[in-house]
Amino acid sequence: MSLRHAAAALALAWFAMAVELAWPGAVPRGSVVIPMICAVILWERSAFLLSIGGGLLLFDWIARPTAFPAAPLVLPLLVAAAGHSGEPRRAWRKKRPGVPSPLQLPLIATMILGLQAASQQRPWAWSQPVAASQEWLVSLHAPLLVLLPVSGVLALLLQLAAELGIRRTAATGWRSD
Amino acid sequence: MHTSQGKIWLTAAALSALAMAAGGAEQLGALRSIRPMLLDLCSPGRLAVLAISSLRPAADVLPQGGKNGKAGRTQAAEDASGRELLLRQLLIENARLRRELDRERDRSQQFLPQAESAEAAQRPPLLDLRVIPARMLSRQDEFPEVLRELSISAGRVHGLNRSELVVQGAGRVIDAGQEQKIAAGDRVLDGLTVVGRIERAGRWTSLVQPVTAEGFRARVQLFRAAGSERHAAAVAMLEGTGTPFCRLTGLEHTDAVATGDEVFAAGVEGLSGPPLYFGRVVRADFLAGGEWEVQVAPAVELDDLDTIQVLRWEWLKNTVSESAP
Repeated sequence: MSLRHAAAALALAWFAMAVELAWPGAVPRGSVVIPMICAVILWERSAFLLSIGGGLLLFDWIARPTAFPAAPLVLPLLVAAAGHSGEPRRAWRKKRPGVPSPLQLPLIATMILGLQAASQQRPWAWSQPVAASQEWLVSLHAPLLVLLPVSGVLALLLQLAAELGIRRTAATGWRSD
Repeated sequence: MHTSQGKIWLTAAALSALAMAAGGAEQLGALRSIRPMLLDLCSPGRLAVLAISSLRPAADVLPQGGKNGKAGRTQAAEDASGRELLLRQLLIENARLRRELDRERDRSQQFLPQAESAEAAQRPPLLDLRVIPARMLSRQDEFPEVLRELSISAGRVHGLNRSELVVQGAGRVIDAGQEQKIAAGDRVLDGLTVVGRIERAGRWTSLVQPVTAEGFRARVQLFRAAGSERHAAAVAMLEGTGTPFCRLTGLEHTDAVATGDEVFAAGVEGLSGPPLYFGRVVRADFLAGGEWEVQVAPAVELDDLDTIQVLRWEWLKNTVSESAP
């Protein structure tokens, strides 16, 4: 089962990267690969799929580097933090509103894209934070136009798969390998 | 379940540590050798996607059926007749140009001694100079100002090797202007702007070292505009600095350099090939120690890059051995 997951994850990420390389103008970097890798990791919250997804993101960074590997550095930690242990929560934690699971993928993908865009900027640009922030927001515009629909569709597919019983839902917590 | 969460955190920490190690290795340049291999791994998919997308325009021009079927067919018929008209116009223009070319060729033959021109026509070239077009794989807005490398869609299967010059595909630069009665629309035959140099050639993709990257070096010749003419000035070495500007080294204290001087390649493999343009001198300070500190702004705006060309040359060995005494 895990090997099948790994093979599917590799194929999907390879195809996403090929699409980004084929149309660098229409499909900005990271706009398909990042949601795809997030979907791989969120499909079944296991250490195995997390390592596959993190490895793929690192592979993508080595092939197309930015100034700093922000995305492969932060994504595993972010996804680990997004999951819960399944232990009985304390009362005060129960009251805290969490991110609905269909929104987790677009949210994480957008955060990772933002980090990647920030790591693409020249280091000394941040000495002028206002100008750098504006530049950062402008650089996010084109990738977000692709990333948000793609991650929305992938989130719906994940939800559909959960409803149909094809994948384990997030409510059951992390899967022990 | 608690163990599972611990395992997740352990995996995440290990991946983050690996990413940090990769970042360090990248700074040391240790990952450069595997980058073309990774890009090559994606190339079959990229080429397949491009092949599929090249089929799409043909499908798009087909008239739509259904309610708009008749209007679509009428539009398609109009388009077809428009294209046919354009084709005829182009054929007429082509024939006119061919006649003009023949006439000019005949005229030029009159100025050359018959025997010499025949010999020149039969003499094989010593150097095979070719331009290989390629697409940029790096997205335009990805370029950080401290640019280390670009990736392009041409590799060893296209005959690329290390150190070959990469020139801008979009525009061409010549050292003549309105003073020489040159106007918009005139045909430009030669003159290319240097973008960088092939650093590593993979099978289907290559990495390009831009002119501004640290480690880039090229022998250049300065030219100074004096009225309508340009005079050759100092010969120097252009070096990338890792900033948006390049610097010139190897200048003698007796050399004259001024802001606005144009920087051209000093030659291709020791031969004067097409006039390859690098940029313009934006700062020239003569320091107290008798040394020049010269900054050159590259002519290429990396944001404009979409397609580039690789200038490839090789000695034709048979020709060299035949022509040797």
